Amino acid sequence: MNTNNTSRPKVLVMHALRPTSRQTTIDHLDSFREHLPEADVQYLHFQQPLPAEYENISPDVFVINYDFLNYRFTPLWPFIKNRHKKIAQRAGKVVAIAQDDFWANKHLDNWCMDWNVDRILTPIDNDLDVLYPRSIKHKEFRTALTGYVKSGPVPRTSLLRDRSIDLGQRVRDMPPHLGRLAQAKARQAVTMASAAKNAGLNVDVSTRVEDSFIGAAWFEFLSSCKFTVGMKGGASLHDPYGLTHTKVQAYLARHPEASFDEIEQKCFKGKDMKHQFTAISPRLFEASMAGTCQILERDDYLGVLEPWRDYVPLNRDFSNMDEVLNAMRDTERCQEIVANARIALVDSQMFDYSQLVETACGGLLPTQGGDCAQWNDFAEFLRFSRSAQELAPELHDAVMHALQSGYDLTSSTTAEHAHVNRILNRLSLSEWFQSIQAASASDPIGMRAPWIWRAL
Amino acid sequence: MDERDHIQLRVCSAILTHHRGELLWASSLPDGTIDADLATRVKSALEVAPVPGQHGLVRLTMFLPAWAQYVGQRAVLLFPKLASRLLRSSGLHHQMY
Repeated sequence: MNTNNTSRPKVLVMHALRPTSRQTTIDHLDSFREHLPEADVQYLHFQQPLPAEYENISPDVFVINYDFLNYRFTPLWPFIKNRHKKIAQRAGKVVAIAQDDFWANKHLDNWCMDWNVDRILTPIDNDLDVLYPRSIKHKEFRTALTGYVKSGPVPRTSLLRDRSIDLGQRVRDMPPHLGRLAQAKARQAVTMASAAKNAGLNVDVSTRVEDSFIGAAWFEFLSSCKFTVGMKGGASLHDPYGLTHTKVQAYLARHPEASFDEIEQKCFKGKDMKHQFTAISPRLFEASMAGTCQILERDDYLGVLEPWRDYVPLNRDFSNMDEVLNAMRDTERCQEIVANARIALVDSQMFDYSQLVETACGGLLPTQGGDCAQWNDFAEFLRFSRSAQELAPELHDAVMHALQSGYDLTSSTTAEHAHVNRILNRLSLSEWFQSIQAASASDPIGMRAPWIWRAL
Repeated sequence: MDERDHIQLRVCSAILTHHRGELLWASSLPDGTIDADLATRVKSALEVAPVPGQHGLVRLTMFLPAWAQYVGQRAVLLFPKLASRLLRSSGLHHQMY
């Protein structure tokens, strides 16, 4: 093991990546290593079995990502909320990146206080006193977006006139427990699609999960559309402990065809629309990078987008639908709108991932890293785990599944165990397996959450 | 590692977790793609693999009041071995909570 001690500032990012995590989440996490070249950035998956001695490491900045914090919606939260708290207690500064704050916010607020978090990043910029009644008095709050522009060359895209689809969008029907506001996005897309279809335009809009695009396919789709339609995302129902969510799930299990109004009456009567928690969607940037003209609800978008200059404005009550449909036929004018939006959102470099890293770590990093003898061993342990996964994600998955089932691959005789063990030996990964196996033995997290994690 | 190794490992994962979707994929592979002993294990695992959402106990809990579900879900997790057995036998371990 490497015993050299480094004087670079040490940043540890705790995350919860899964094989099905969105590219936005991966880009978001990657940005710390990319934009903090002066620091030694390491990534720790909360589920990763960790030998006890590494609980004593003390990073200069400990960043906890939203994908871990979003486990507060789940029954697993009481069992994992103090995962690696020891590291947070020894860290110089602790930064929490939150999303979907309106859901189970009491758990989040209490967690921020318990962990003595120094800085909280949130996409919500209103009613923070409602969402964080305890932390608001003691913590530093900064606004962060749910997505940013990835640095590097902007991909070349075709002109609007060369695109085959007039209007394209994929929107998820949001669950009812997020309130009426969350339903508005799908409603807007469906209404716009219907009007465009009636006007004879080629439309490809869907709210069905099975029609969604994963990874690069989404950008390809967006790049083949002349227009896309959108608005700020958000919720209007405040669900402090997540109990409304459980109530709605239980009601839907018994009444799968129930309408939103019926669910509202039965599960959260009189509670909706008391607050409006809204945030910019990452699609604003994705559409701009894809060179697609955006039809957006008339609103304030980061203070930089102007209606008719950077986007085609659609009124909330759809009262100017005819005006929007007429504008969609003026391709030259819309091509100008695309160019203006790209200048404001992409070329300006005001919203690339370096901004996220600056918002999270700005002013917190020391010029020189603190003394931590175990940091390099810890970093090497993480690298080992990562390289085993990179070599073959399937091998990593199979090993983790076996460990979570309580099997010892080396002594079990069934065909699947013998096969995995054979490959481990062939790839000289027995040492990695033994260290993971030893750490797993005293770590019941895997049994409670037996899905597979991804290292970064 | 070659392509066959990757496929065989994926099949091993499917058997280890009794993942119905993955096992169906494994059983549809052309003969000879995976070792014969693994193919046999796929067949026997598929017979007992749970159908997500069809587990009797999970369906039954849906008729409990929301507060009882809320408490019950957390209470089960106090016992990791029981939680693991319930998650795996119900197929819920392939889904987010």
